[in-house]
Amino acid sequence: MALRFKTRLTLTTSLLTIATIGVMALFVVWITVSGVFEQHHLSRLRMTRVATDTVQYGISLQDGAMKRLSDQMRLTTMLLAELSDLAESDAEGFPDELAERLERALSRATRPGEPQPLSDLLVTDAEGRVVFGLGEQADALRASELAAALGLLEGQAGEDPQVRELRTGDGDGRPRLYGFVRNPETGRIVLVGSGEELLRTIRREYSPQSIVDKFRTLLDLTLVVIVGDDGEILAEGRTPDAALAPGQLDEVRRFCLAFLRDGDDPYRVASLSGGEGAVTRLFAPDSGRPAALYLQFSDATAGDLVDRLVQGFLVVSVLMIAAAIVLSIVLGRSMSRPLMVLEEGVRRFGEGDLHRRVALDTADEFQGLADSFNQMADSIHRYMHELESETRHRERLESEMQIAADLQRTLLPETAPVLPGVKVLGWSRSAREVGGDFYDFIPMSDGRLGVVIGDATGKGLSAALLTTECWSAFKALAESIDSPAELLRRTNNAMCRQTGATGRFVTLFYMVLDAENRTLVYSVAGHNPPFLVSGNGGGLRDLTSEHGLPLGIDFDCAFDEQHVELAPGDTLILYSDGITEARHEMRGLYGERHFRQRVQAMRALPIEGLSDCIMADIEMHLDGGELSDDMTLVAVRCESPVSAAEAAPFVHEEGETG
Amino acid sequence: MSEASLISFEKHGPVVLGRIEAASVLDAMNVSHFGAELTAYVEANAGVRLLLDFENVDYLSSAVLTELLRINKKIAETNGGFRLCSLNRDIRKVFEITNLDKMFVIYDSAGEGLKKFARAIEIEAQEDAWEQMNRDT
Repeated sequence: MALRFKTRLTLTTSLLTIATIGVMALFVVWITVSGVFEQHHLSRLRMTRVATDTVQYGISLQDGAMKRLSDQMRLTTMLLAELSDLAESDAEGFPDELAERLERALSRATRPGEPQPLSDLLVTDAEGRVVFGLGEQADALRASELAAALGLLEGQAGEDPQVRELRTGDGDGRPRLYGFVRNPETGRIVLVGSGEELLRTIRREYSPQSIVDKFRTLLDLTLVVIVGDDGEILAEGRTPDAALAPGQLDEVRRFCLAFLRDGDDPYRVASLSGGEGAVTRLFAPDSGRPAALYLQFSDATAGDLVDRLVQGFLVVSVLMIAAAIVLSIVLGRSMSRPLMVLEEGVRRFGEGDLHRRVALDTADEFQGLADSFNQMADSIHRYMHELESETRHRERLESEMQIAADLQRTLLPETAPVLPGVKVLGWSRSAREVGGDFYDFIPMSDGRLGVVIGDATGKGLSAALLTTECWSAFKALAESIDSPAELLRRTNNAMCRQTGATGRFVTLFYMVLDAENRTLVYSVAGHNPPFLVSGNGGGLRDLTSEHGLPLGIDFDCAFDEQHVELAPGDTLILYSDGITEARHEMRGLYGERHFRQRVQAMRALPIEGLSDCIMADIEMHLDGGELSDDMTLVAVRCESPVSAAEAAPFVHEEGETG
Repeated sequence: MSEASLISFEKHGPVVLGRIEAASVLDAMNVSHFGAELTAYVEANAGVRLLLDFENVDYLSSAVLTELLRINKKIAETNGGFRLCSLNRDIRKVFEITNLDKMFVIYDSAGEGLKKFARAIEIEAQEDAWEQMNRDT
């Protein structure tokens, strides 16, 4: 199927664009989907880590999960660092230095206008002896809290040589935050008891619900639950659109309680009905009692995300493909526009609108093509214009030639004169519209008849002009001059004056026929000698002449006059060389010999028949070929007195001369 | 139509032999081409003694006669000489019929033509010298 260039261009562009977009979309979808899964994977890892960290500190200080720790918390951390540093320092001067550094740290950490966050600072040695105390309640702390703190530390002693820990507790019915540092090498233990102010802040900032909310929003979890060690759900949070399956919370609660009861693992991962989840240990910030933090990341989230992404990409791809198709059509149209313009221009030009040109300004191959076309169109237009004017000119010339031909035909005799005992006829056929041959019969007052045959050099118009020139001079002179030789001499002189040095000439034979006495007198000016065929035996005799150049060559040249007597049955043939030189491409010339033989053979025929036969014979010889020269024939038959009465005048005219 | 040269010119002493190369000088285009070539040569070589050789010519259009007459006149004007040679029977007959054989000096062959033409020129020169001498004395 052959598609148009425009369609092909549009299709190709569209396909290319669609393919590119498709490949890009697929690539992006792949990257995103794999990214989503990666993220899902990472999220699970992070969740696990969060769970691990929470075991250590109750509230993670890492991973950015608890970024909004209060100044107090940071201070506590700082204190821990100081304590740790002190615990490692040598024993001498320890208490004094500690006191100084702690006071310094406290003042640095305290904001102006706010109460000191820490109070009741107490430092003990490994045996629990207090080596330093600060604050009004230092003494009160001593007995009960020291024991509790040391008890708490025992659990960690084996794992980490140097324990730094913050814990909340309920000492003596008052909320406390403890910081512990133990140095196994020095055996020194530092215990810090914090004030109520700090704890209040922590409780406000880190209530179970706020922890749940923070985890949920930060990690994009579907479900976060804190379960107390008594099985109570302390706080619960989930994404707004996540519906809980019936009994799901109960399941979580049971899982958390089991985890708390078993008590050993820092965290545990479970696959529950709502999705995968992890549970970790936590001390409830407000009560300080152990609790479980359950985090659930729904697989559906990833699936939804993928669905949303795929849908999004589908919509975007469809939109982009549509845009690409529109763009391709527009682009294809703009690219093929020059071609359309060209096509239309060429078509219109071909339909004949020769003024049609193609106007393109694209500065590319199309414009080159258009320019070439315009040039070609200009040439064709010019050529057509010239052809038209030439045709007009030729038509005019042809019509003029036609007029000339008509005119020339009027110069030929319309009828042959009727003479007693002698029959004459003539015909002439031109190779062109007009010719250089002519013949005429000139009746004389005394009953004699002048017969002239002539042939101007060349053919066509130039020959015709020469003929007319010669003829008019000849006829004008013939009225007053009797002698053929004299008539030719005078005509020649007239001609020479006319032709000058052009070399053009006219051959001519002129005779005066006395029918009554069967005699004739003739003169030749370079013309083919006529021949006489004897009626008795068919003997041939040429009517030659010693002198006589063609007319128009030599001024004042002399012409002979010859006398001939005719016998009944004699036939005299006057002709132009167009007959003997009638040429066929294969057969060659008609030839003088052949011509004479034909006439001889047909000498018994009436001259009309003889003339017709000769003409037919020449036609046959030419076989439709072009005539190379004008042909003229004049026949004179001397008849017996009986048949003379039957003589009928006629003239044959043939071919183009009509 | 052919633009190829119809005549080749060769110098033989005082005479230039113009050899017609075409077998027939027939159609109008050929005749005018033939005439133009001859005219151009004659105009370029005033006073040339030209012997035109018809050795290769089988057939002659009578229009050629016009050209020959014109060339003859042109050469005569520049005091040159124009003669013909090696005409075959048919061509010779054309000259005879038109009585133009009496206008032109025609030799049977180029060899004869060259020899006799050269001799004629020599005699002419001697006559001229004689006449000059007579006038001087």
